[in-house]
Amino acid sequence: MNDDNVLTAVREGFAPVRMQTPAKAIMARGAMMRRRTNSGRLTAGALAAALGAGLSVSAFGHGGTAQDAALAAWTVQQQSDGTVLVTVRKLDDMAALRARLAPYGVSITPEPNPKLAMVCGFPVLPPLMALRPGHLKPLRGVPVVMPPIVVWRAGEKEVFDGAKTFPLPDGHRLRIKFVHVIRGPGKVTVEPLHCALKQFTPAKLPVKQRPTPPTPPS
Amino acid sequence: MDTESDGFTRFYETARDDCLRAVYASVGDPQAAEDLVAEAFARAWARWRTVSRHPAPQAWVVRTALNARVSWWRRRRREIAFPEPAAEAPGDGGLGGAVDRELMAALLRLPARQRQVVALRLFLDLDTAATAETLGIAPGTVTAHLARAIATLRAELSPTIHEESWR
Repeated sequence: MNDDNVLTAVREGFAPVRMQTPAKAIMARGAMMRRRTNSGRLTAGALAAALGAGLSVSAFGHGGTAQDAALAAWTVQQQSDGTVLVTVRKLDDMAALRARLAPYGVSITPEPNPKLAMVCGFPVLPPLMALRPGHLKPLRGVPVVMPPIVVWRAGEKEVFDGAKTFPLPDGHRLRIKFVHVIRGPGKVTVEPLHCALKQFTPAKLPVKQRPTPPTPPS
Repeated sequence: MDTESDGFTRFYETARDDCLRAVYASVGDPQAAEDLVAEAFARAWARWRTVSRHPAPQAWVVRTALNARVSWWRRRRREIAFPEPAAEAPGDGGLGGAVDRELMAALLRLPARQRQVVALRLFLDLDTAATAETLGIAPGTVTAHLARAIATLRAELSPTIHEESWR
């Protein structure tokens, strides 16, 4: 038995070994790592800018890359009080988001809402999708219902924002925010940090006042 | 982006089994090997622009796998069950096929560094210089480790091969 026989025996012995993990799972995990790296690079700059603007950054999620001046499609951040903050800006890489939220017992299934595009007066907005209420499905019986999406105008931009906090079985709280930046024709001029922080100013959201019902005479 | 994605997918499809075999032969635990290789490929995708220019990306994956922590994949396996392979031999640890127990035992009796040298030379077809660079040791050390490993394996496996040749 020479060296080649030995090596051939070992090589043939491992021939049946096959990798089972699908490529999509690998790439979702890699994309998560990439986002984490990018957000880490931006954290210092975002913090400095937010402090300069005099705004609170306690609920500030992770941002996107500075190179393309675009926010990350979504971010998940566990805060010091146990709240899990999910900020969804774009319906990209939802499989990775589902995997990210699975440990918290929540499955998210967003779908595009064509009606929203019509509301905003943009007839064709293929990459800009909103979320229908009621498309968050619980894994462990957590009642999750999305609020209606709030719309307000900010100069030439229109921002869609919906946010709600849900209790989770393990004592955590899940807070989900949806932020969709409608981009008009031409180059995008929205500043990601400005938009990300702006959503945390509830006073700017239009609040519909319901008429008080008349008190019945006693 | 699509080109990057396609390139990585092609790389994964062609290199994943060899990388898994190399890591499996090095660590001896099939599930841990799968987790390690998955983590290493995920890291490769996270920095694909760099890894794709590496002279031996498979070696990068194996080296990363041998240094990686696999907690994320273990946690994920609890949350999301992978589809069962169609024809899976019992006791193979879920890697799609069984490795002969005597062969595995003989490999595991080798020192770890010798196993790694055998794995890189055998499954990734790396030459002495590339193996040395991947493992961070001298080329002469690679040659010595390989010679000792083959001598040990010859002594361990000869009876088995002899028996099989008579059947």
